[in-house]
Order: sequence, then structure tokens, then C-alpha cells
Amino acid sequence: MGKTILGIAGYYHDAAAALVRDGEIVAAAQEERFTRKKHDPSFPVNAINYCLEEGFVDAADLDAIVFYDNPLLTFDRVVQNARAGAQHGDAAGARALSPRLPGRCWATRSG
Amino acid sequence: MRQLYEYHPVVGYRYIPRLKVRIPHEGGGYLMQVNEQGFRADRPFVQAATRGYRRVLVFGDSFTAGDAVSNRQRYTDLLEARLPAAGTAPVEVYNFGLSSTGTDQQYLIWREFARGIEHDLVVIAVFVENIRRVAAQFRPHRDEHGIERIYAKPYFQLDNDGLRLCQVPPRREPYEEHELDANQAAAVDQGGRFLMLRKMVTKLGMREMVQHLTQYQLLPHYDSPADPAWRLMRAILTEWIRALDRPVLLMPLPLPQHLDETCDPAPYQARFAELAADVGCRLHDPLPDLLRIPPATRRQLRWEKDIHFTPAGHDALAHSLQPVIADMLGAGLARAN
Repeated sequence: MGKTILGIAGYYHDAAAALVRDGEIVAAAQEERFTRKKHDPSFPVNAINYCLEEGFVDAADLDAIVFYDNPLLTFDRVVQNARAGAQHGDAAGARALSPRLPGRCWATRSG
Repeated sequence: MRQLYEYHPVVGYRYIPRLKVRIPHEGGGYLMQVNEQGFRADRPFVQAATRGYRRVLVFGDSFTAGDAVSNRQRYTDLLEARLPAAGTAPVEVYNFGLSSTGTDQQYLIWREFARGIEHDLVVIAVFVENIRRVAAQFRPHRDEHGIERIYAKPYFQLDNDGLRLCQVPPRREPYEEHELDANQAAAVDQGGRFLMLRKMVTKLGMREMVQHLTQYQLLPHYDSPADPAWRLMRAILTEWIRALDRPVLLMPLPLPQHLDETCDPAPYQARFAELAADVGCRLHDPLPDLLRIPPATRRQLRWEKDIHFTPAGHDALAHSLQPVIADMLGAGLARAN
């Protein structure tokens, strides 16, 4: 039996989920379809549930769960942009930074 | 809210046939597949015996149907997978569990759906709280909008002539409170005694502590063999067991409070032991096996908020039940030979 992978995008506009089995897309959906909130950025619990239901697979049987983003890498890019913008008096970069701080950047303590 | 049930003119309701859904839950979610007869199973329930297989029919409520776990994680499905390894012939376990039903409705399920099915053994799993449901004529259920409404249920009355089935077919539409007269209002299952006090204590998050401190007896119906609710429950089980022509295993399932040792199980244990002795069926009480599990691990047999079994709970119950079923099927096979 091949690999079954759940892909998740969330905490940014158009949160979504997709289920892939043996490289074939079994199901994919955007969260806004369930919450009826356009471009819903919340964690896509409903889209995930739909994908697992469509594939009829238990979460424990997934071979991998993949998040679309490396939040630390993205955070670093936003910080760099904010810093570059700030040097020219542009506050937009700093405003872009604030929504990223709660929730999105989280890392376990290592060592 | 996802609709899982459809109206049934005798039982009251059943799972929607051929449903295949994933239900969000505090544990993440679980998969539920319903067969064409309206029971949680991955295959149809056929009447004729399958060559080379023994067949076990299991009846019960949500603890047997498997609320909060996927079909294959239920104790019935675990038994089916494990019994051949324990030395029995291959086994088919047909799970006729239906959530939120009383033993009376489970008896009707047998009459409506299972009576003609060839089998070797019947397991009647009675979640001990079912005694309240048996005494009730109306029960609250959530409708398709998630709102709790009062629905009529079929029920039995016990009089001098024996059991009499009432309220069949039950009304399809829910009842408003003003539609019920005083007798009917008293026959609504409110989930136990002291409704307002229970709600307040639960809201304060103190339910377990208060029950522990007061050693609250949740089900006084088992205290006496003469209790009307027990006499009704006993009459239903007696009629059902006597109508079966294959060995029967009666299995009372404990409340969470019995597992937490905050409530005395002795009354219900005594009643079921008396009943099994009288009707000549085998009794399996899984509580002693479950109480041998250390308390911290035992707490993990059910979910944090939901009182239903976790996969670990179903696993523990399957372990307790497996030698009993293997023994009964082995004995049955020996008799058949």
C-alpha cells in the first residue's frame, strides 16, 4: 500500500487541506467553503475533516502530515523586509510583522 | 450539524444506511461506516451463515456502537480480529449497537433486524445506565441543528399479562414541553435525579469531586430486586434471552464512576447475577478486569470529556471478553460436533 499524505495550509489567507495517496489527489478543499468566510485564514479543521472523510482514512494511518510553510523561514524573511523598509521610513513591514508573532512562530526548546 | 440518524417506525431511529463519515471529536475525529441495514459495519449483515465462520451478534448502546472511535477500533471488531489467533475458528462479529438506546430498543432491534440471522452466540452488552432509558417514554436528542429536543421512544409496560409494547410507531416530530401532560413529563429521561443541582455542579466543574465526596449512588434502581425500573428491565431481558435459541452472554458495562471507584457497583452486580442465574445464561462482568488496571492508566480508558471508551478502553474490554467468547464458541462447537 502506498503513502498517504495530508497537506495543510493555515494561519494565512485561504487556509486549505489536501489528501494525496500514491501521488494522486484524493481530496482537497479550502476552509472558506465550510465556514463561509471568504479567504478564511484559520486552521482548516473542516477542510481536514473533509479530506480524511473523503479518503476514509484515520489520522493515525497517515504516513505524513505536511504544513505548507516553514514559519521560521517566513518570519525571518518578513523581519528582513521590515528592517529594510524601516530604513526608508516605511511602517508597512512592521505592520506585516505583528500578526505573525502570536501563534505562527512556535518552536520547541531543543537540547 | 451532520445528520447521522433517520426515523425508524419501531426502534425510533437508526443510523442512515450506507453512511460514510468522519465525525469531529475531542480526540480529533473518527470514521463511521454504516451498512445497508443501518448499523455501523463495513459489510452487510447477511442471514445465512458463512461457511467456516462462527458468528456472534452483539447488542448494546453507544458503548458497543463505538461512539468516539472508528469502526475497527471497537471491542467487537478487535474481537473478530483476535479470536482466530486465540484458537477459535474464524469469527464474524455483527455489531447491532445503536447510540442512545435503551435495552428495550435493543430488544426491538433484535426483533426487527436480527431474528432471522444465523448465529452461534449472542452478546447483550448493557451499559448499566440503560435502566433509566428503559423506564423512560421520551428522551432528549439533538436535532439536525444541534438543538436538544424531546422525542418519543418505544417503551414496554409490565403488567399482569407480561410486557406490552407502547408508543409504536413513535411520533416522528419532536415534542414541545407544553404538549406533554404531567405523566408524560415525568417519563422524560432527564439524565438522572436532581437535574438542577447536577447542572450547577457540572457547570462549576465540580461533578467528579462532589460525587466522590458524597459517594452519590447514580442508579438506585438496582438497589432492590423489587424496584419497578429493574423489574421492567429484567422482564425485557428475560423475554429476550428466552426467545434466543443459541447461547447468550450478558455483559453489564460500568459507569465511569464505577471505574473511578466513586460509586458502589455491588447493587447492579447482584441484580445481573440473579438474572443470569434465573434465565440460565452466562454472565461476564468486565469491571474486575478493568479495576486491575492502575488508576492513572484506567482513566485513559475513556476520553477526557466524553465518557465513551477510547481505543484503549475498547482494547481493555476486548481483552476481558476474549477468553469468555472463545470458551463459549469452543463449547458450542463441541456440542455441535
